[in-house]
Amino acid sequence: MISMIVRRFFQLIFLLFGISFLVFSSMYLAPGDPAAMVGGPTATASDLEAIRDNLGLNDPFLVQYGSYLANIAQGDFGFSYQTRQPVAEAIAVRFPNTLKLAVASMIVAVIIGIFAGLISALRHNSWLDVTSTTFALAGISIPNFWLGALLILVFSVNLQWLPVAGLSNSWFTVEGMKEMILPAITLGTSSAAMIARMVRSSMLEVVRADFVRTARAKGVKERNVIWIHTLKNAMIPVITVIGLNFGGLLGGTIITEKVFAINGVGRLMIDAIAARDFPMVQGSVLLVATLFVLVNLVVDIVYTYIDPRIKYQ
Amino acid sequence: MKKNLLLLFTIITALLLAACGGGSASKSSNEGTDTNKGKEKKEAIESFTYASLTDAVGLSPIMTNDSASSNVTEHVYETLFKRNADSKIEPLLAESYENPDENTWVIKLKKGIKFHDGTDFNAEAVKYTFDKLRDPATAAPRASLMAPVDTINVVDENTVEIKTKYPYGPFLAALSHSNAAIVSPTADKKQDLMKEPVGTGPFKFVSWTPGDQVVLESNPDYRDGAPAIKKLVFKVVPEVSTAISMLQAGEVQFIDSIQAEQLSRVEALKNVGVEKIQGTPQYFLTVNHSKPEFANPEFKKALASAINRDAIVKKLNGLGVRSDSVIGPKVFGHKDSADKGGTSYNLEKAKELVKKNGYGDKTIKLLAANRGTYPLMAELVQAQLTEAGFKVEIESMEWAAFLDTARAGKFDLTFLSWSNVTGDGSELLYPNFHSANVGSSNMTQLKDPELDKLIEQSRTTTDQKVREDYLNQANELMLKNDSVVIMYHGVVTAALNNEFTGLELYPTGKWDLSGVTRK
Amino acid sequence: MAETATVAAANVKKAPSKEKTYQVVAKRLLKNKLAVIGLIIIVLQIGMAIFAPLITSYDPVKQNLDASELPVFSEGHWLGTDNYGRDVWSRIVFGARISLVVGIVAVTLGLLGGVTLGLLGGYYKKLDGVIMRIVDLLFSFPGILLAMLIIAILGTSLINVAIAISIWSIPSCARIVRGSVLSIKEKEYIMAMKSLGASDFRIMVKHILPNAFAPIIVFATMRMATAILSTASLSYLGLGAQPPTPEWGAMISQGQAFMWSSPHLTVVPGIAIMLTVFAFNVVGDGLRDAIDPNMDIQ
Repeated sequence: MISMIVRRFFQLIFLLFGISFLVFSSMYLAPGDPAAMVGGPTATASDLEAIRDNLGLNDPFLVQYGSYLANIAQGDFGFSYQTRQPVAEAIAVRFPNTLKLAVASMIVAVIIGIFAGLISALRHNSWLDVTSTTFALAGISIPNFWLGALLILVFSVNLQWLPVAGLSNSWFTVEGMKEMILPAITLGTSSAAMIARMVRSSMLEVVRADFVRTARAKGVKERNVIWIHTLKNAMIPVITVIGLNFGGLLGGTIITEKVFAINGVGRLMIDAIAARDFPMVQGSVLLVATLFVLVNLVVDIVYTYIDPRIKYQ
Repeated sequence: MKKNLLLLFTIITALLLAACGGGSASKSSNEGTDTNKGKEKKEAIESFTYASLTDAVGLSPIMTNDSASSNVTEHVYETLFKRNADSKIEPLLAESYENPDENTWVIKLKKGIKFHDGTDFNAEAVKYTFDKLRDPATAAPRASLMAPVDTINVVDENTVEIKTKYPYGPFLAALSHSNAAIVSPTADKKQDLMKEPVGTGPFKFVSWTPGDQVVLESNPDYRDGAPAIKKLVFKVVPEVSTAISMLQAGEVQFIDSIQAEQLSRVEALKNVGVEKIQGTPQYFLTVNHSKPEFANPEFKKALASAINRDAIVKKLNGLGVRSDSVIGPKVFGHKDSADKGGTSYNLEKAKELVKKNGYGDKTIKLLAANRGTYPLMAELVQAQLTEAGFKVEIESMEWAAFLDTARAGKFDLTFLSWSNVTGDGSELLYPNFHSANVGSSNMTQLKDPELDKLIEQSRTTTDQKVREDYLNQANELMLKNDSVVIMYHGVVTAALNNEFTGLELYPTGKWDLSGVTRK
Repeated sequence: MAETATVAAANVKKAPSKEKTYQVVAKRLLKNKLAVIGLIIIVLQIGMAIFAPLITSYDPVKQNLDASELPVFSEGHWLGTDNYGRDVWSRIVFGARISLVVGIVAVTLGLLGGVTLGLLGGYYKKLDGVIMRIVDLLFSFPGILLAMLIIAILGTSLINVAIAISIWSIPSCARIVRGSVLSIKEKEYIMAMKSLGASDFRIMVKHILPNAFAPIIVFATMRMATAILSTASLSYLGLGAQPPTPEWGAMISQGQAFMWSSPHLTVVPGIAIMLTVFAFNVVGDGLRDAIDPNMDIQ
């Protein structure tokens, strides 16, 4: 186990190195001059030259990338071209919102997903199963920018039940919860659908497995068969899906944050790409990628605990 | 089959609910405001929120040049001069000025003004600010505002003398630019003004949560009395439709720069009043003057004849003013005669020219940024040009890539715009059309020695009457050459919650909330 | 259950009776009502795409400013018109072409990349480490962000969207193919081929690849759904189709400004996207169930 974690750690470093190079070179290659974005449309040629010099944009590519890496090695993620503030600070302000959104969406997704999946599996081939399967597939198929806009229209504007946008209140207050509902549904729908499908197929498979039959034969109560023997075993693949989805959610908040005006890392990334704010793009992408890898690592560890058959060499 | 029915049912429900949207009455609740009655003459407004589409880049006027930042800084800092709602320049922090000779500006300052941190506002502060702004080491985005300045001298506590390298006509306009606002020297040395601004304005800085909101509070010591708004919030709401919903729900009290498509929705809100005034921003179509086939006079004539600008202005729902004049009606240097002085729409003539010269044989690329009204203009103009026989393809780009491409002159046709914060004709013509700025702000790639000369003369004359004359000549020259096709001159907008009044909206699209009171 | 096992086995064997296997799969697919509905939608859409000019009476980019923002069921425009007076039905129909073509191009490119990486990685032990690291790298990169970066470099156009989206599907495809390769590589008949002196390329393409065919087909069908959805998302962000191209995502993004006065401009293309994506998803799902319900496709 320890050796697995150590190996994964080295893989992570390699990954981050690769990602930083990918991002750095793509931002370098992309048309668009960061100095022009800082200077605005009214800046003259000499204004721009001064800004370029000041930001170190006149250095050759490898010099720029090298000094960036050297700084990162010392834990310094550099300064935003736009605000001239440390990138780490800007991300620290926004990350809690993204995390909140991802966690809330995951909660929505897990509750709905497991519930719908169980119903489907327990009432296999009934109309309930068909309905829930249809909904699950529709959930994966719905464009989430469209879903978000429709939800705002219906629940915030017409019915006025929920606030339109923003996450300005803290977590565990009524206001804070209310603000979270629509964004969490918007972002969580497709994960809910994926979880539901996984729960359904996994349950169906486990129900037919030998140990469940044995349990039934031994006269274990039906309720216990479902909740103790079946569910526990059916959860193993479900946890992978949850892990994968959670990692994906962190990256997938981009559109939801835009629609609901949430001040998160996703929106920071879009704005930074649009403004050619290279250090900011780098910092936020590295963060999201690291989290994705870490979440998957945790999933793998949890896996070995619930399923002792799996061993990592 | 049940499953499909269910799906269908959901879709229909969503459709119906969505369709009901237009008709539903708005129940406005005012969570953001408190109805406590103040004991002063002006009833205090506990909290007032403005929804901004983008976050401020920073809060130092020296280091920023974007409208989201200047919206905030204009409430915290003040400039020496200010362009009022009638486009006339009047003193703000300055008391008066005089020109002993055309290269010298002696500016008297108002007395007894203090920065928010207690520092005295004086000639030293002015010198400090302007020196910092023009210092190459600062790399200020608008250092060019001070480009003609040679020396800055403190004459006495309240008098500053600025010498320019050459006579500089639009200097007062430059001094009223929000990037030339005066900062507190003590604060600038002590802290980062980008994060903690200190000025002399009607509002004091409280806090900034980047990406979320900036909070200001009323300055109790302000010389004209403290503003009624006690807490002023600039909240970032990146989706326009969300911002409008928040305005309707009473979560924000004020939004600005409403787009044509959104206007009818905002105007239908019962708790909101919309203010529209003719403004200085302008939008134009230009050929790439560095490519001879497009710079050809007959091509430009055909282009101008093919574009029905009235139809485009009509599509803007009243948010555009039709005029051929390059220098807009609200900009210094405008003459009414120029409003109809350009090549007018004449489809038959355009068709004839296109046919005669075979302009339709080659595909022309129409470059357009993918924000604001550019996509709208691009789609309309493409259809009109196609009608006249041109073959046009739209190439839309995100803003950064667009700026890069347009600056480098890698386009055939493109739309450009200019918001003209100073409201001065020279400040429009010089950056956009003078050959010295090709490669940076002159994206039209126009190099016309005759025009260059007129623009230079308008800049190096301090007599405002003479300047007006030069500007007018330059304008007429551009109309004669069909240098650009003016699509429309902007109308600036703001929507304010009905319970409030006293918003000052300027033709530049800027606004001042210090006079806002409860009705 | 027993049935499935035979089919799965039949797939792994040297495919002794291909015809029969396909018949069994087709039969089972047609029993799945949801999948049949999906198939019908897909066939209709392909029909719409091919016969677009015949089933519409307006040019999808032709403007008519005097008839703009007409509501649904207006005379002559049963789905109304947009802000420029363009017929929404025509735009939806022609938009079907774009969605299908971009989807097919993106999935094909993605398969080419994924299959190549998967084959090489599975077959050559030495390459496996490097290739799997590349796959991990692509995996941990938020898909939409990767697409945004690629489009930032290449510029805004549908072709570039297809390229960006194809890269997105390379890692999953590579993993699936690699898995299949690993499971068959050690089989006797492959070993036999090798000892008979067949070239690696021949073995890979002629003997290993066909065995990975089933998961690839299922994967491709489901990826069509993802590709169409992603194209719409990117166009929604203004990074896809150039105006006035009638792309569905772009239509939503344009229509959103009129959501309060003309909600159909947002709702109609949204339904079009949803139905299409839904169709590809259910067919993909049905195919998987029909071939082998335990197939692992992420």
